[in-house]
Amino acid sequence: MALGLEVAKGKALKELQPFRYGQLNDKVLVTNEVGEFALLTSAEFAAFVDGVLPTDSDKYAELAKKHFFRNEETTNALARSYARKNAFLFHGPYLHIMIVTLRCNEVCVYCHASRRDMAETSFDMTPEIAASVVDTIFASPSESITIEFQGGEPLANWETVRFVIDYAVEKNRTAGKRLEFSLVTNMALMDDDKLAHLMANNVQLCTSVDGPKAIHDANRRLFNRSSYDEAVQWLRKADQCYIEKGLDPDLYHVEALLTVTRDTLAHPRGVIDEYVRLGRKAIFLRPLNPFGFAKKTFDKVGYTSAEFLDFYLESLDYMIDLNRQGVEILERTAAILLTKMLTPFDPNYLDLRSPCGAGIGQIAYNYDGSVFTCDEGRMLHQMGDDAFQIGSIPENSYKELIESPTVKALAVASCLDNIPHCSECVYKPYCGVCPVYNYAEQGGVFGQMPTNERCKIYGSILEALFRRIAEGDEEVLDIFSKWTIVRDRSVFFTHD
Amino acid sequence: MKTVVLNRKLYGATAVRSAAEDFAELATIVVDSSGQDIAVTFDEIDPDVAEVLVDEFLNFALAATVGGRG
Repeated sequence: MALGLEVAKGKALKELQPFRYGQLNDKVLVTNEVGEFALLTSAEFAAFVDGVLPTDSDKYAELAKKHFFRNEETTNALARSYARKNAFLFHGPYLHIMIVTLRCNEVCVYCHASRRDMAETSFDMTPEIAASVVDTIFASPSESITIEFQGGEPLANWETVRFVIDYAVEKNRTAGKRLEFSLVTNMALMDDDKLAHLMANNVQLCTSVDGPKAIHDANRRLFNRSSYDEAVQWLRKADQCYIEKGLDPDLYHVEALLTVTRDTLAHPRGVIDEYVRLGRKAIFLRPLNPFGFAKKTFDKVGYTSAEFLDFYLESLDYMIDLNRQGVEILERTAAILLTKMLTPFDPNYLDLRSPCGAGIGQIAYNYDGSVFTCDEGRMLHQMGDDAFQIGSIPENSYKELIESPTVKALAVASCLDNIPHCSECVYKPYCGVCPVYNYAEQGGVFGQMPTNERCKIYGSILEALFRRIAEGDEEVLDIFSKWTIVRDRSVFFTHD
Repeated sequence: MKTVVLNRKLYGATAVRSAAEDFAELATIVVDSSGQDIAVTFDEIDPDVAEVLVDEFLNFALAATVGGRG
């Protein structure tokens, strides 16, 4: 980034560890490879790169503590930290998304999955394919395995959901992995028996809540009933089940997922108030994906990155204000990025890491046994593009799937060190690209960042978070710090 | 002998053929782009590079695709 400084020619650079820099208000933000950062005045920055920053100054001490000066000790410390932050590279895929059916009982304005009508049972995953998928999942070297049921509406194929849970639990008696189940459901096909089985197996439930009832019901249409009423009724029942099991409701409750449409943009406070009213502790503000049905109707439900950012930033400030008043609510994108910025750990969020999770962090299994690098790749397949299919089950083994040239291509294409703009960006230690997004929106898996809307969104969110950190408000820093705390929810890993 | 199948939406056929020419001293490489996908068969691989040749070839072909040789 141009700062009017001749950074590259000073021989003092040899005394510095690699770093990136960028302007932030009247300060210069410097970041190193593991995400440690400092804010310098222009004069301090000039002195830093020229090697004349006074060694007895506070800023020198801060930069030294954060490993910006090169010596054997800082090199070793950075190497250890880099290994810890990138440990996911050695784990293999942990997130396994099973599309157990394409059938769905709701019609959503933004549907990603190209739903099928409830009568079309040929779009269900059979127990035979499901068994082969579970066998493949357990071939992953990852010690942690999350099986996420998606659709369509997964409860439309309850028999296969139930079979997978029972079969995977049985397999895990010898495999001994940290096995977790997650069910993404609209709840409208839930009943007491299903809920009891899900609770007995500690299946994490996630449901869509698109904000207040009027917005939710407009987005998600259910014949003759309110989709909002169905979701909220079962959300409350499930929450009560967790309490009856003696679990802390702050940790164990139904996760609610928001899809932001154009109708949502005008109501940031209404949406957040709804989540607080429902007792949720977190809200995940993500822009609409340009995949599947949503792309066809983007004129109706979509928006620009600038419009989304206005919504996001107003929401973020409102959530900070609520926290100041003692209301516990966090925004998940911010929490993920803050964890990367403020802690020595990486949350392994597959969409924001380098390389991304496609094939090496997650795998998506379609109802018919076709296998994809990720759910985004599977969504594109539903639009008729098989670019991200890596094989089929039972024909291909886990080894064949993971060694697919497509998996390797995506790993290369999402490695930020390879990407012009990203490789020099001050936010590189915290960010990640999505090759499927790039392919769908820009015609190739290697994105063109200067015109990339996703880059604009995450770059702007990172800038906004750093601005708030730079302002130095202790209360905000304390809130941000709390958002990075990961609390133990290990009950979801137990299946007796 | 080893065969890899490349999705032509990610790997350009011209780039793959060009890569095969560039790697010709290290292996016998046959490119079949007549089908839906591109099949690349490697044989008689130089033992000094046997472990890395296919992956290096794939990276080279991908870079050639992105570089406009697709």
